[in-house]
Amino acid sequence: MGEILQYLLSGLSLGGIYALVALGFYIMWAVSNAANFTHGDIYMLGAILAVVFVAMGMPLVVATLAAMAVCAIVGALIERILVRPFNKEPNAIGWMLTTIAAGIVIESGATVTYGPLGRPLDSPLAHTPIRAGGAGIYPQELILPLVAIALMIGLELFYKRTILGRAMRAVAFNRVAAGLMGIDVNKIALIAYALAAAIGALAGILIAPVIQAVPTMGALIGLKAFGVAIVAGISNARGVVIVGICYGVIEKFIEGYISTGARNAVGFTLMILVLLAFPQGIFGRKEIAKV
Amino acid sequence: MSGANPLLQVAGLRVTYGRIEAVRGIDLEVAQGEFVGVIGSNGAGKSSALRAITGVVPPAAGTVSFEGQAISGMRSHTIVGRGIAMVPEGRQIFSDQTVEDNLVLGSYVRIGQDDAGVKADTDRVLTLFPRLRERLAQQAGSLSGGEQQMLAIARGLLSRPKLLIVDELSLGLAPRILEMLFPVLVDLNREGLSILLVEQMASYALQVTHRTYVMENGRILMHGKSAELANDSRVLDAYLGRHRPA
Amino acid sequence: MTPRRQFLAILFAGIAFIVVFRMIEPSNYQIGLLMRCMILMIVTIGLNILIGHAGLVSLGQAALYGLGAYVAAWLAVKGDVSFMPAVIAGIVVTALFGAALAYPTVRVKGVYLAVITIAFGLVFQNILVEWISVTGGSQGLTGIPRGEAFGVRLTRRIYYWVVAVCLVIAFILQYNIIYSRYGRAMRATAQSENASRALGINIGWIRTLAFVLSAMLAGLAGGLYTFLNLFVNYETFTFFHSITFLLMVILGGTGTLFGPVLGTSILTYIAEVLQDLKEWQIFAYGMLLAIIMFVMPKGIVGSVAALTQRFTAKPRARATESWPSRDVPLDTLLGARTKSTDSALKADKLTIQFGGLTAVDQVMLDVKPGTVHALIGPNGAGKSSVLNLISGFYSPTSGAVTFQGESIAGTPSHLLARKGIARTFQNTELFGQMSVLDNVLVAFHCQYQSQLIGTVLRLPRFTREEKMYLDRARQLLAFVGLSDYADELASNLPFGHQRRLEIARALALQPKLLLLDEPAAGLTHAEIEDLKTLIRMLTEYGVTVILVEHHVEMVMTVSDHVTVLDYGKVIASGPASTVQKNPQVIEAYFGTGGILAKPAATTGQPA
Repeated sequence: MGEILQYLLSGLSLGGIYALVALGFYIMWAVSNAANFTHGDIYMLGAILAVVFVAMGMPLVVATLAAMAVCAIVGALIERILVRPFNKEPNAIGWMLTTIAAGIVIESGATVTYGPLGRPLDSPLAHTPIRAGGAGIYPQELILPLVAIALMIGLELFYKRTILGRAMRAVAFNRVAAGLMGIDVNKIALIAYALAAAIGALAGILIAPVIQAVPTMGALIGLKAFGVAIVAGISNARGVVIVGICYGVIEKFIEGYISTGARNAVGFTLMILVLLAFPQGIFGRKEIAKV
Repeated sequence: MSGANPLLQVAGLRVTYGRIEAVRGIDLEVAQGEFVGVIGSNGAGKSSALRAITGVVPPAAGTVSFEGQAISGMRSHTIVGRGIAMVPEGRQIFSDQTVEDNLVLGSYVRIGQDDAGVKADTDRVLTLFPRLRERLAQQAGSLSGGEQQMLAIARGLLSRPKLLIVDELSLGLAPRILEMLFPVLVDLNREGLSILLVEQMASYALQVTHRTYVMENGRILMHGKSAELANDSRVLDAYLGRHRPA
Repeated sequence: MTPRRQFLAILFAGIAFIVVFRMIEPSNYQIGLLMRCMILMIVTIGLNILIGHAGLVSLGQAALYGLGAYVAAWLAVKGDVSFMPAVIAGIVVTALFGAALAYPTVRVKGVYLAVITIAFGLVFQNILVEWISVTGGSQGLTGIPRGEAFGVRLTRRIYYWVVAVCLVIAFILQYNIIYSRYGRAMRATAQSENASRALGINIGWIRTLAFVLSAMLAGLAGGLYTFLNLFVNYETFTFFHSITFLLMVILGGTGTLFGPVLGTSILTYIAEVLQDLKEWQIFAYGMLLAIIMFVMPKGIVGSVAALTQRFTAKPRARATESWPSRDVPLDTLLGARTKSTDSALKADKLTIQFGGLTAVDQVMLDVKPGTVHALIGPNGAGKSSVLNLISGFYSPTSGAVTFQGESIAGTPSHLLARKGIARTFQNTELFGQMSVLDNVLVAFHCQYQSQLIGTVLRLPRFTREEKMYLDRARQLLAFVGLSDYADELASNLPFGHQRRLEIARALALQPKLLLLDEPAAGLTHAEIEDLKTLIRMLTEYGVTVILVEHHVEMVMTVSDHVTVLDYGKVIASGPASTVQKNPQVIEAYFGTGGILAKPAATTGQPA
């Protein structure tokens, strides 16, 4: 019983990360039908920048905001330089290669400058675990799924209620028609990538106190989160967050009942199978092929 | 036929896709308060010309000026800001958003600058199309084809354009509905709105417009008063599907 | 330079290099480096078939390479299997996985496929590390015995030649596949799925073929690597290596013959130079990938080719002949005259719904052989949907379709194309990045008798057939007056010519039933007259034509029978002259006229 609760709690925490990172993919995909493919490295960048900023003497909250701001700028630059020029044709994949390149550069650049070793980020919420029913978890870890759900609700409200949100949905739905409404499509895309990067960075900063910030922490998370977004159908925030959290929980149960080593193999195989069964994703809409 | 002060002036406009030339140098004018039609068969280059005028595609050559200022090469959101609204071919409403959201997006360029005006104009277009008022909270995608076209027109009007461009009003709509929509355009024009209508159904276009350009194969074949063109045997042959009147 | 000459030049230059390099007595280090480089070339040649021709991006190629390596290593270590069977087993297993990976490509594309291949790569690596009893875990498999083949011990000196021969075979295989109907079909499916299906190409099968070929080459390279290195571990087969393979292909030039070889050489060399930089090496790789994408997305070979083209090829005016040409006898193009049956095509209560919308509603059609049957109606009346149902692009919700007495409802489009139903598309669907001639050649895909083996080995029958269909394609181009454009890219043709080409391509199927979707759209009056002549020539020859068209004058003069659709329903059907007078048709199609209650006399409207 305690075991199951433990898997569930740590799964929720891990799932919160996937959900947050996947939300970023969803935001980017919606406006451009493309994404920063190595969004996971932004997640990593957020974490290590926060560590560096705290080491420079900033208070945790300021460091967090500063790291998110820097990542937002990096995200916007990636959109402008690496995605937009390589996403001109309907089925272009150039953006995938350029952003993979950027990911390699960011990760190895971080390794060279920050060092390959993990460093802790001190947070008051990661000092004493909460114990209940034989399970233990840091409050810091529980924040993740809560933030994911809060952001999901916030995003939905943002998309439905604000002008900018409506404009983003309009761009996602039909770029040309959006332009004809007077919406600057490129600016909207830039904002979306910045927003996605800030959220990705936040996810990294939130988990850093528990796992230590290290340059290699992002790549795999990014790929998994992209898988999560695709499996969810990448077309609505709710689906992305649900699938993200579920995937985290499933991984923890695989770890618990099969083995830690089997986690990725079983998890990815599951992803492939779901995609085969639902090529548009679980929550995705089927498009009618136009001939 | 050129007015003293043409609102829209297109000169030598060319549009190419790769090495294919869809529009091969056309001249076209819309005077203040005029209702101008462009007719021609599917693929004649009408929509390509409109895309270049509204900045959806960059023109390969030629100039487009609006109110005496060159707008060719600008992107569409800037052009909309200048006072041209487009009702695009196939409506292209945001069908995943509500009718109300679509209207809000239509007024995007004025939001924060003229909120009171937007409110008044929204009320006006909803009076013009009462069916939209009934369906304000509905998903736009659930509207019928005719209602979607109303929404597209309403959305276009909300940017308070000086020139309204309508691309293929008739597309997929029954005559019954067209006979309701075309008079709305005529009324809007009588109230002072300049309109450029591109229409495959020549019979309708020739009835509502003042002047008409006939396009074929990327060029303007002829132009003149609509009433005169409606009796021109070449137009009758090619676009009205009639044989020469005996 | 023709592709064939290019191929031979590269081949002989390559062989000469391999031989000369061996004769100048290189150091052990140098020879090892070249062998590794040659092995990687085999992988990238396979990847190039997949990316450059079939248009499918794999980000898990290193895993396939690793699979071949591990299978060979495991058999050699644990099963004492010798070199040849171990490598062959590696190829077979990898091919099977390639086929399994290809399965999703029937349903998902682009980035979805990329995710699946990435996931495959990560799963593979995970298994390598964790399944210690088989893979040796992170230690890998050691103690692989040096190979032996035909009783000869494969020392490093001899193994050099083994690797070289494998590379030469891979290079020849690449050429023989690319310049055959299979290669053309791969490029066609990458450029337009719809047009490929309409020409009888089974997209799933062609993509599986591309995947399997690239997997086999990766498996071969893996096996060779095992017996070169005599030690395998997971570190050689990571996601990073998959990216490197991709980078090699893109750097050299995707879709070019020489690109993968060049890209692999350059990057292998750079990797050696940068080895001391450690982490900076990866940084440099990333920068390089980004820079290449900016500076020359076509890769070195592609960019050089584009440049030489720009400076050497003089744009020349091309001659357009009139069409349809009377000089080309129709029976050479269309085969035997079609025997008339009493009905070419029948639709019975044909219905299709999209969501809640009934696009085609209980439509009845009876198309007589050798006639022109027109479908008209206002925009959105369901004409194109009927065409898509007949050609198998849509599956009916209910109702039946029979073609020459055989029920075809729900039969996939590529099978219908093979039965003799050809079509054109409303927005011409050409293979824009292929030559005009190749566009027509693709259409013969299903008529070839030579199979894959015969094609790869270039058996006499293949050569004969290739020549025969080349002649037929040239005749078809002559028929539509485009002979002079044969080597031009299809996307560069003027609009009217694109329509001609699309019709020529459809005729290559030797159709019994030809579906034309708005063929007159965008054509000039003169071009429409030619089109009418063509349609009459075809029906005289026994071909049945179903015509969807807006151009009323054309419909009325060329059609034997006209069916009018409105809101998915048939509202009138009969000879052109009768239908034209039907008041219901006039209202639906021409409008009632009185929009502004102007007198009809000034508006020129039918009352």
